[in-house]
Amino acid sequence: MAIEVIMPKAGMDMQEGQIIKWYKNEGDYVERGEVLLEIMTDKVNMEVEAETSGYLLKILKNNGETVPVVTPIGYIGEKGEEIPEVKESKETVQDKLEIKEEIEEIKTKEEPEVLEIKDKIRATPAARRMARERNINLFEVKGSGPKGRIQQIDVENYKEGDIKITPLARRIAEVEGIDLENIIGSGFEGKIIKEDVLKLVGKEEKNITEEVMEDGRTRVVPMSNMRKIIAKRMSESYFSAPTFTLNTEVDMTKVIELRRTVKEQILEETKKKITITDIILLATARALKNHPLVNASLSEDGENIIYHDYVDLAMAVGLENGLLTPVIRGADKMTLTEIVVAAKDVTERTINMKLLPDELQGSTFTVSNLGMYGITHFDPIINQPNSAILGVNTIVEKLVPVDGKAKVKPMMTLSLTVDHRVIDGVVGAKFLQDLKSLLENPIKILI
Amino acid sequence: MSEQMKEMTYKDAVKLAMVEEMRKDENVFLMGEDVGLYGGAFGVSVGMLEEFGEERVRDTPISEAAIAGAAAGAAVTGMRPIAEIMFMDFTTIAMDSLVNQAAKMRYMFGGKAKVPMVLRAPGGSGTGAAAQHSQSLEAWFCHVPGLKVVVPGTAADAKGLLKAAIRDDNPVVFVEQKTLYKVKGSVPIDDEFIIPLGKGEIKKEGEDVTIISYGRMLPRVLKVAEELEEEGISVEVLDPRTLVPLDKELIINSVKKTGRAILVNEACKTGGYLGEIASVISESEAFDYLDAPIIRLAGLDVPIPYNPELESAVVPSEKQIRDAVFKVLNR
Amino acid sequence: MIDISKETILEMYKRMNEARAFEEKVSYFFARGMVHGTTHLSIGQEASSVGACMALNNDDLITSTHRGHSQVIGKGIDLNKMMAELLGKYTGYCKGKGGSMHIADVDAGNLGANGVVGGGHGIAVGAALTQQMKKTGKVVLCFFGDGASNEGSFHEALNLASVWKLPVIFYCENNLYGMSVPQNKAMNIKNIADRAKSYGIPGHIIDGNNAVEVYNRTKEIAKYVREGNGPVLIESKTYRWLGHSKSDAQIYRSKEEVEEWKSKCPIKQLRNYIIENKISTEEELDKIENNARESIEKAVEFANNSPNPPIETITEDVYA
Repeated sequence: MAIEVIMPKAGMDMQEGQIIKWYKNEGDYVERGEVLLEIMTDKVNMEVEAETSGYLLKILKNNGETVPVVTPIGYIGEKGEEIPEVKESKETVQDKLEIKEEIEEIKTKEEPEVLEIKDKIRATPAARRMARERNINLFEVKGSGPKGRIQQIDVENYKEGDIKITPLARRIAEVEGIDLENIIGSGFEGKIIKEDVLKLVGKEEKNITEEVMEDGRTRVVPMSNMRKIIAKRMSESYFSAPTFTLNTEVDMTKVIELRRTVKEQILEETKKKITITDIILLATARALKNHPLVNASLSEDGENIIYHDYVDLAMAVGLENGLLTPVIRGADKMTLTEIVVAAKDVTERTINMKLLPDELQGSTFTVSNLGMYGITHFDPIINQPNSAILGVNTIVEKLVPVDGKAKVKPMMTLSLTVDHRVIDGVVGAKFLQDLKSLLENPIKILI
Repeated sequence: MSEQMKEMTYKDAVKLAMVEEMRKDENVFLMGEDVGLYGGAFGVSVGMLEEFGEERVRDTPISEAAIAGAAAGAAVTGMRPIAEIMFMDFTTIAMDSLVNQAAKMRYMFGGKAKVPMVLRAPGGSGTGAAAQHSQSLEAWFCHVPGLKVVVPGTAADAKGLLKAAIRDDNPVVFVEQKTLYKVKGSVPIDDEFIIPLGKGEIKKEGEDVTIISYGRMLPRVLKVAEELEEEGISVEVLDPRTLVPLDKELIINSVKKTGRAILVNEACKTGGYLGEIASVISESEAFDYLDAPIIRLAGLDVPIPYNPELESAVVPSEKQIRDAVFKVLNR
Repeated sequence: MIDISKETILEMYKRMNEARAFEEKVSYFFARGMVHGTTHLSIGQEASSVGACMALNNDDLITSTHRGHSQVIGKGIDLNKMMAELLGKYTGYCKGKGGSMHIADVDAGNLGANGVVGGGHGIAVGAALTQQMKKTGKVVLCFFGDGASNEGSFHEALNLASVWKLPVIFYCENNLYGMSVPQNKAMNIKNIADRAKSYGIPGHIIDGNNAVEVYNRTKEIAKYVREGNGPVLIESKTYRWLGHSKSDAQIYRSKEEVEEWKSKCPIKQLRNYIIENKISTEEELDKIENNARESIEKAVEFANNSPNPPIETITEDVYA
């Protein structure tokens, strides 16, 4: 019997997913565990593997379509096998009307992408065979044949690692006629991503779908999925939580010393460079253990406080076109070395859009650092359902009175925004005080 | 096999094969319209009447259905007739005898009969004989199980294949090429020179592309291949020679080697035998070696027109063959 | 006996001369490579072909053969268009696509010359069926040769036409040879007309080199057929002076035989008849002959000045 391929529910609160690209065509054979398609959940791209071996009999939903989770999007089975009729979901008349409206809306909407991305790869059988034998991903091979068809010679000349590029970026580069040699990849291991190409042609993504208004000076740009999610979450947080921000100045002398002391050793052990942020993250995790309210969340009905006996620390990672908050699980139990590795790992994977959806969920507290941009003070918005967020600012050399004398010290402001429904001023202040103390005597966090 | 060769025309090679076999086997005889004194409409059997007499070189009335039917009847009762149909176009009149009778007797009768006959017929355009004297209908016969179909493209092949066809215990449709009749080639004079049916030949070795062609188009393809060789493009030219049975192995191996296949014949494209060859390639392991779509160059789907310019435009030209090579090579 | 008018007999004389001149010109062109393909000449058979056609009404139909130039000229044809077709020109009857063996003028009742021996039998039966069903009063004259009477289609057609009583005249021009094969080696009878007996229809033998006899007998038979009496087989005994086609060395017959038949020249016979019966004068007949030759020269000029078919017409007219 033909087996359904569904839009997987890839995360607790994932409602729908967008199909980015099918890697197989109808009629192709797919091995169980082979990558079948790429989807985008509300925040990340992820690959979906085939759950069963067989022929991809039918693709029900095409690239670019967004469908609710567990919706059948295709069928795998034996050649010539009948495909069961797509089951009607149990929906009410009202639902149907709504769906109809939605469809109308979709129909009237302009195509979101200017560049038409064809899912099918043009490659000769010989090229495919060679790619198979050499384990080369044809999506990474540039075709020299008619209409970009990949010929055997292209696969033969392809050297792995030569140019790593996403299929979308390759397609855009082809359309724009850009030599891939001239593109600097900003993705994982220097992989060329769409944005790199668009930058080069002066068509950054925000411009792709823009609509220039009649005055010629105004442009209307549809939000990306990610942007929409951020907008929704931030307004929900901002308009539901009464907040205030507490600021305190920390002497970072010892943190800087500590970093200098352990830097070489950690680099040798892990090949990762320790940053000031890593030390702040660890100190925060430690401090939170002693301030359970700051590490708590409000229940959905707003009537219960949920305490966590662990610290899952989210860190805001700014991207070109948005913001993600990947989570470092069990940060309170980590050593400094471990947190360096964990932080680097999630940061890199965030930038490359390779996070698993669950890694973006379930944090107990969030740290947002704008220090690298020279910010000295800001009021962050809480990453709900957290009840507080810590804003980290830049380190500034300041004249500070020490024993009646003016001394230059590296000073940094910490900004803690709290949800007043859960946290009162004193609770927040005590937490900040503790954190300040840990940072000014960082040896404590190592014990 | 003797190494001795003799230059002779395609037509004379056909005759030589008939003469040799008639000398060896008294059951072999020739019949057809004007094959006797006249020597055949194209002069293939000139002189045979003198050697073998009217008994074995038999002029028939203009009765194609009877000629083919008589051949089948004689064959099933112990003779080995060679029946000449003056133009391939006229095989239409002989169709029942050939398709419903000769081809099926053995099978219908549970293997208890054999029909060792050869039906010779010249096909092809290029002579200005227009729509009813110029067709290439070989695909029709290929579609009938029980018939073997041979289309020689050189003088030597004509001899070797016709001898094999005469000795074969099945009805064989032997498609001669009007425009090749006067083309000379080197032919082994050994009277045991036989080319087994179902054996194709690489007429020219090459690396970059395989052109599969037969019959009248073969010399044209070879000419283009030689020219392209000088331009640095290595073309392999494969002549299946026998369409049924087809030398699939030779075709598959060649296409595996070059990764590109161009198929050229004179017959109309639609429903033609090139489609069969293309399918053989696609269904075989050679598919995975294809580095370009298979190209078919065939006659236009029109009756052969009379006007010489139109007539020559119907069939694949040297330029079209060249262009196809460049196309599959992405040049 | 039907009384043949002066006008008709002179017209017949004209068309026979046109046919002769036309074919002599074609022969000339062919030898110079100006005619593509092959061509089958009917010189010597003009009385048989033209006389039969002249005996028909203008709107009666014919099916013609590979040796059909005299037949279609006899039926009355535009010589310009015919010569243009022979030379493969766009202005020809078949736009240069048919050539010598496929001259047709369907609207004028010429259902086409035929490259396949015996190919016309069935067509004629079908055409006659139309006339019968539509009660047009027209008859169909089916030209064929002695050789074609050995094709299965001949026998099947005669049988069918006879049981359905169709208005068709099966007109066999017996020129004694099926290409190289003499009649006595191809059939076991002397007179093809005898074959009519098998189908229960009349069979008549006529002298195909005597235009007046051809005309009168055919006229009479056409009347019988038109009256709904069913088909008739006519065997017109004649002779082709030249080879089967231009490549025929004619080793199958003697020069004496050819000379003997040439002495029975149908055109000379008709001329003598006209003079003897004082229907016309030598001068008038000379003038007709000269006019015929001039018409052919004009046709040649027309054809030579005509364009070849445009290459894009190559795929036209495959389907309606």
